[in-house]
Amino acid sequence: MLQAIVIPLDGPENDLEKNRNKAMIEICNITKKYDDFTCLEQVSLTIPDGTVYGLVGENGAGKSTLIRLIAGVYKADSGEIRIDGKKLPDIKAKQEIFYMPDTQYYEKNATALTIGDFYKTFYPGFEMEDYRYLLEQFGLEENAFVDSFSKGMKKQMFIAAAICAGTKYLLCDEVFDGLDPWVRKTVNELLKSAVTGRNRTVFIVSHYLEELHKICTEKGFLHRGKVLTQKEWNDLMTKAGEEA
Amino acid sequence: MKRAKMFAGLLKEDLKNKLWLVLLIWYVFGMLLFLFAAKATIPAGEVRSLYVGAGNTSFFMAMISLGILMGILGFPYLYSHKKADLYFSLPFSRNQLFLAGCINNFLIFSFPVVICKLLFFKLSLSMGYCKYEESVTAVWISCIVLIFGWMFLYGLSMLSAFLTQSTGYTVGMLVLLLLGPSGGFHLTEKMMKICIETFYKSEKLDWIKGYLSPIALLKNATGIEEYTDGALWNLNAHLPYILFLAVAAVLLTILNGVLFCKRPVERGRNLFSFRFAEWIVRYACVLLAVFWIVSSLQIFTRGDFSAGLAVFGIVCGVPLVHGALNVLLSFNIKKFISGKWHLLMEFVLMFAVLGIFSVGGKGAGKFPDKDRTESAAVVLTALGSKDEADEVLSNMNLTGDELSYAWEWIEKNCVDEQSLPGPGAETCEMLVKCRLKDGGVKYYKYKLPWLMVDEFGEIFNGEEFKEGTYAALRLDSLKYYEIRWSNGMETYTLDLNDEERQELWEIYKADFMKLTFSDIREQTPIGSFTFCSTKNQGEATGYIYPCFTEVLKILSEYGIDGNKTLKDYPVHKIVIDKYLVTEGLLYDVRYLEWKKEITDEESIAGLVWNLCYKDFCTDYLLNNMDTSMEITVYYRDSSGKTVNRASFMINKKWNMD
Repeated sequence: MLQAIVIPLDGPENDLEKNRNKAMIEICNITKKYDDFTCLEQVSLTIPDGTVYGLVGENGAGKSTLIRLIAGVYKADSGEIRIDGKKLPDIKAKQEIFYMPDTQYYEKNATALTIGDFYKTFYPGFEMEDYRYLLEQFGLEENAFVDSFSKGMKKQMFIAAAICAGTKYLLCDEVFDGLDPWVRKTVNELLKSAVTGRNRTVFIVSHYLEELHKICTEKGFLHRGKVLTQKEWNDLMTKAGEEA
Repeated sequence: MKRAKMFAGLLKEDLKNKLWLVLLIWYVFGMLLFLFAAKATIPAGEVRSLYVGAGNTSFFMAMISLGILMGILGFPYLYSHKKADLYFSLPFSRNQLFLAGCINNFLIFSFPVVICKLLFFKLSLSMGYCKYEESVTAVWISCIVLIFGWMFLYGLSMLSAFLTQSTGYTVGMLVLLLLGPSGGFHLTEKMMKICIETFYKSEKLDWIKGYLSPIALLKNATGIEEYTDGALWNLNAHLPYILFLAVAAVLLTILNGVLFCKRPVERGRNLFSFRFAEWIVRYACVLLAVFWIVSSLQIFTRGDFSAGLAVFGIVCGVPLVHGALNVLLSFNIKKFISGKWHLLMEFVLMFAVLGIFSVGGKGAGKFPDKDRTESAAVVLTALGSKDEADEVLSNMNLTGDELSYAWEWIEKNCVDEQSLPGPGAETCEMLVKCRLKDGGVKYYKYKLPWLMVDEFGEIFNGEEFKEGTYAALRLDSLKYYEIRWSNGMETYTLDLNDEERQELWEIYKADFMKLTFSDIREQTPIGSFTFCSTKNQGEATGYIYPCFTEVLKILSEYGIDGNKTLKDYPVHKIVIDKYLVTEGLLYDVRYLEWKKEITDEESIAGLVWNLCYKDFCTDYLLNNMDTSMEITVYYRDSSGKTVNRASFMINKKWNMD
């Protein structure tokens, strides 16, 4: 059932190529410190429109901090972030983003449907029908309490909400974390279809390199608060492998 | 339109999280209404909790509790990463998130408070407790004051929450913000008393205290400590405080809005959201704690300022407080010895402030020149209680010859160093208030050698002095509605109408104006009038001396024998407790030396002539009473059926043998 998911399309079909390489999320010289600890230092990154951008890095590299900075949850100590040319924390810039953290908050008595209602309030482009369709496809009971779902089911539900939110950019933090291989595959397909079918741009931060290889059209490497080139990253990985 | 709809959605979602608060507030105010409605009679002690105006204690306490609770819990997502991720990533600016929280909390509090206050008023009207025309303005103003008061406390609590990163520190910060200013003013006053020998009080400091101490400001704006309600609640007296409260509430809201936008969501190692918050807490706590130590050490000097003790207090106190604060602020005991630059700054700060106190104190206590003084008020505290002294100082105006005489008398007996009392000499306290020609007001406190007290008679017998003392009793005030007479053994409430009350006051005033200082020294009061205010709260006492012939005459017309003293009652038993008094550093320590029970009629008859009802001995030196003995007299009342007991003092001249 999981492999047979078909997502209805609402945007121009397959215009991924048209928008590719058009810089849309621009991160310029971002520095973020926690007290005396520098988490990110002068990080610059460009996430082109219509891509699935994967940011890889080991634990504590600053991936989640960076994604929270883009989502407007944290504030950078210096540098700036522009979304379609609009500088954060401009609301117009935030309207284009849907952020899906590693563990999403929901009310204790929330159901899959009330979660949809919640997002519909704040994201005017939220497609309720599509959301319900996706829930059905995932086999998630829309009136069931979210608290009764497994971790994988919750993740699927929130990915469904993220895709249907109607925002141009999806920011996903450790989206594969804790999911079994079958669910991971479904999530991959969902995200791919969001890019190809709905003209979304997906930014994923994860330490699951394999999954990112499968899905990402662009990749970045974050190591100790700095973005590395592919060569630097490969060298690092080789060195780590030799040491192991 | 779309944005407005989204914002309305945000309000709705925020409100859903606060439904428990809505229920709690309706429950609290609903219960107040219910309790009020269930009362068939109004006990005297609970009258203020039933006021329909701003002085209602129950609504005041509810306002404080809810303001603090809602301020601390107003933005729950600040303390949860998961919630913060959700709320801060929504397509709203931080300003909008803040505004939504504030609007909801404002409506959650103000709507029930106004509804319940009006219902409270309606109930009160139907019970006949107040009149509509008299109280309607006070009711509406009380709603406004309660809302501003709540906004102020909500703002302070929210400020504490925004400046700190955990609930425990939020509470600590709130305590500092709420009580720190009044603690600071109290210590300032204490230091001024130590550094300025003649310091009694400062009107400017009192004025500042009334506005800048949060709890004092709320009390002044509502009038919670006054015994007035409805029509008697004077808006003009409270308006400056209400306006200040409103401005402070609005400014706090703006400040909180700015801080909310700047406040980092992530939790750092520091327990404060901003570095400046930690500094404010550090230096405020050092100032308060070290000055408390410095002022406490001064008890060893018995009232005089000792620079050595002050320096010792700072040298020992600063490192101790600094270390304790290091541990508290970092929540790490290993940090006791750290922050050397802060330690240096704390020393500099403490010595600078102490320097200001000691240098400023030298010139501040100087008695003003006669040419600069417009009028004065003089009080010998031995003649009444401390509370009465303040009333007398504010009511008395010595001018002309009386001022000249009083001024010279003070210069000669109090200011002149040659007349200062030597160590061990018995003294009494003399308070002076000078109204200066430039509009300033100065207060002084002097120790007067007891031997000089006789000369005070000249001032005492002056007309303006008597007028001031009489005005302090406010005997002609409309707010008194009940007069009680007592001679210590018996008490009667006089059933007088307005005209009869006025007549009694005039007679009392006439007798009082004829009273001389030597009368006071030679006689002890034989009775007293207690003038009770409306609502049976607050009272003033006027003594009746044996020379008050007209008062005694009118009392006899009411059927009361005002000359009746203990000797006229059948005394059943007298118990004498003799104490050994040892002078301590802070208090005098008393040990029971012996106890004696006298029951034989002959001894009792000899003793009662020397006893004086304890409450009528205005001062033990003035009335020459022995403070080391406590006498309890068991007597039968006029009906002869009940045995009562009362406390008495005995004349020093009485020989125990």
